[in-house]
Amino acid sequence: MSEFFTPLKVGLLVIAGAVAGLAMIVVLSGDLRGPEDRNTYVAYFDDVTGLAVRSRIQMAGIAVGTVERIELVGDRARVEVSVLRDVTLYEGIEQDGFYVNGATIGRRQASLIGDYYLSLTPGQEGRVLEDGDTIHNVRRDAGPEEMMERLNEITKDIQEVTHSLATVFGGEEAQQVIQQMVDDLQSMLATLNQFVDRNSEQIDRLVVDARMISQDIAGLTRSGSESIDKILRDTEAIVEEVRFIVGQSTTDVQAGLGTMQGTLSRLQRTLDSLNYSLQNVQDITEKVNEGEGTVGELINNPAIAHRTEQILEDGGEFLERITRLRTIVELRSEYHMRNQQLKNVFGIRLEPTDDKYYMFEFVDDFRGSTTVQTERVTTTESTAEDPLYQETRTTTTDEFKFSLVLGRSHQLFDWLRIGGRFGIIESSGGIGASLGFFGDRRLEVQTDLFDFAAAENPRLRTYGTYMFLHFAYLSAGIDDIINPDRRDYFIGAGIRFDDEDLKALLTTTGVPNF
Amino acid sequence: MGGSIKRGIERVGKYAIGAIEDVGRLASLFFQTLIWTFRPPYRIRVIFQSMESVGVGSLPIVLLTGLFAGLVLAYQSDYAFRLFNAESLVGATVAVSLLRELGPVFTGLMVAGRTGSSMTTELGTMRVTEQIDAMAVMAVNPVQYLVMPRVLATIVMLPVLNMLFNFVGIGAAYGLSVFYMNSDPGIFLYHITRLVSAQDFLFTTIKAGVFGMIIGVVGCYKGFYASGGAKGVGEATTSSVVTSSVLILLSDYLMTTMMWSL
Repeated sequence: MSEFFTPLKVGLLVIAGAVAGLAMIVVLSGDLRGPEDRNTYVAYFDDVTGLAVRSRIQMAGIAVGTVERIELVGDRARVEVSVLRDVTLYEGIEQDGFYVNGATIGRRQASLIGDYYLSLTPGQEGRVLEDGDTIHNVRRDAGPEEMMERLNEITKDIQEVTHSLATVFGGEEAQQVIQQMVDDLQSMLATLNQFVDRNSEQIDRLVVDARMISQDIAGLTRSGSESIDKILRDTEAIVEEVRFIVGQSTTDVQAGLGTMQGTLSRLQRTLDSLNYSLQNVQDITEKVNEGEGTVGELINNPAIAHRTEQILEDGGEFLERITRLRTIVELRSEYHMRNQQLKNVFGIRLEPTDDKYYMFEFVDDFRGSTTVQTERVTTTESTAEDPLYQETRTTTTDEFKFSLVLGRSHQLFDWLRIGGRFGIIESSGGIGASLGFFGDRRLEVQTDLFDFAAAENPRLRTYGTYMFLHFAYLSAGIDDIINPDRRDYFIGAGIRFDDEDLKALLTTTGVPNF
Repeated sequence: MGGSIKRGIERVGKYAIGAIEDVGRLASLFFQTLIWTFRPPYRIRVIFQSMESVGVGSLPIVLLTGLFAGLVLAYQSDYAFRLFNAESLVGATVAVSLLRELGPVFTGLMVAGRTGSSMTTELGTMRVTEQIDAMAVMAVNPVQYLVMPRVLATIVMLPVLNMLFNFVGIGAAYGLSVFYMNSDPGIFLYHITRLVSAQDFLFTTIKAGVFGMIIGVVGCYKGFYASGGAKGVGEATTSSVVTSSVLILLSDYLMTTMMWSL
């Protein structure tokens, strides 16, 4: 008996130890990703006090790597860091020896007890840094020592100021002066209060007037800003020319004066044309304000504004419908066991809302398309009892079938959705029902009844699908249940996914409601 | 005067030669054990019996030690860190201390005291009663039958016991800090994840394995070469515990400097 329990006890102990070890590794150790998931970068620091090998590197407060090696190169510290490969770092754009908008790294103090870490920012522009590259931008944050030095300097300044104040205000005479100043100030404030009380209405009016004037000026400046700009540009050009003329040698002064005359006359012409242009602009704006012409009509007619709003609303509604519409493409293959044949279905399902859909399917069915034909035949056999009899022929042709189904569904509970549909199912009229389980309809059971013109009973098909991946499912079911001769069992698999491009093509034709 | 100096020098020389012989025999026993580990017949039943004796037998004392080591460490760390308002570092301190040092060392010392001594006593008694010689006469290799299973058992079981020691110790520290000292449980664990890495678990396992090998080899060696009747067996047992403990502490220092200075 003990021979049985000895391995059992040892096994239990080993398992307990392994479980404890694994639990601690998973819960207590940090990121378990190995070197193959990390990139190594290099940065050069002036000072790495407080940093050590395996110090952490954080980005936005989250650990993304560790310090791997620190060594002295010349008079600087070369720090090798490993950072998770998911984190993309950019080198930056080189300008005057600096890498603008590139990744930065800097030493930060984590606590007052001398715990340091490296803070990393990824950068935005430039080449993506690869394994072994250098992070050029090294930040130099003020450490506690530097802060203390600065605080010391500030304290000295404060001491000097307080010393001066003490010298100025420290004596008894100075205190009397200050007291006198405070008294005067109180007296001034009292006088000011009385003045404001007496003249408050006039002050209000003054403020309103000042506001109106400033609004007028602002309007004037806005409307004339373009003209003023043009005038300034012309004036600038003229001044340039004058400057050029003045800069000529003395022998050219005469000619320069002639040129200056010409320039002044051009200035006059420019001012004239500017006046003319301003007059035209004024005329146009007056006409627009009065509602004349197309522009005036557009701006002043409220009906046009109303219609524009309507068009925008319609456009918004149309866009909303497009964005709401789901276009699901589906490809399914079924293996029918009794016939040992494959059946393939390609379908497109349009879902304008969660509870409504349109489905179009191409079906490559080994059963083909069946037609029933009845003929009256007259036999020539004289011995026959009835020379005239009826012959029914069932013809099956190998051709594609199609389905066009309109369906609605309703979420009954969180876990159950019921639905119904009708339309053309496999090239014949039919109806169907469906049950969807779980919130995402992972498991669906569907039943269709169609092909009512068949020789025997209509075709009843029931099958279930289970989405085991977000785009793939398995299916199984029974076909032609109520016709025992034709009944068949099938299993299959399919893929189903949303196609955004197809949606863009299909939705341009609009979606009807029913 | 001259005679006493001569006797002193002789004694030192004898002791030095004895020590070198000890090292040689210990190395020889270790290599024989290594060779016999891979040579048939494989005595699985005997190996499992040794594992039960080392692992299951030492479990209660190891867990008890781990529990109190974790509690005491957490309590004293909390006292010290509270002076700097840094109580959040208690968890990390305890976890690092236990995983890197105290876990394997305490486990090793406990197993050396409990199992190493019993190995020496058992083999020593067999030696002085000439059972080992009888075994050799019956063509059963005593190293394979007696030493190899014990050494293998300590090498395998020490890492397992060490892991349980650490688990219990850190769990006890968590309980004391969170429920008694009112530390933040999230911060407690966060600082552990910040300072403890998967590498620490690998190194602590390696350390425990090496300590297991020391306990097994020294315990068996002292018993295997015991002499002088019951008194000799008692001396061998004491020597076994002392030697194992010293070697554990010495190798711990060497391994720590090698592993964490990489």
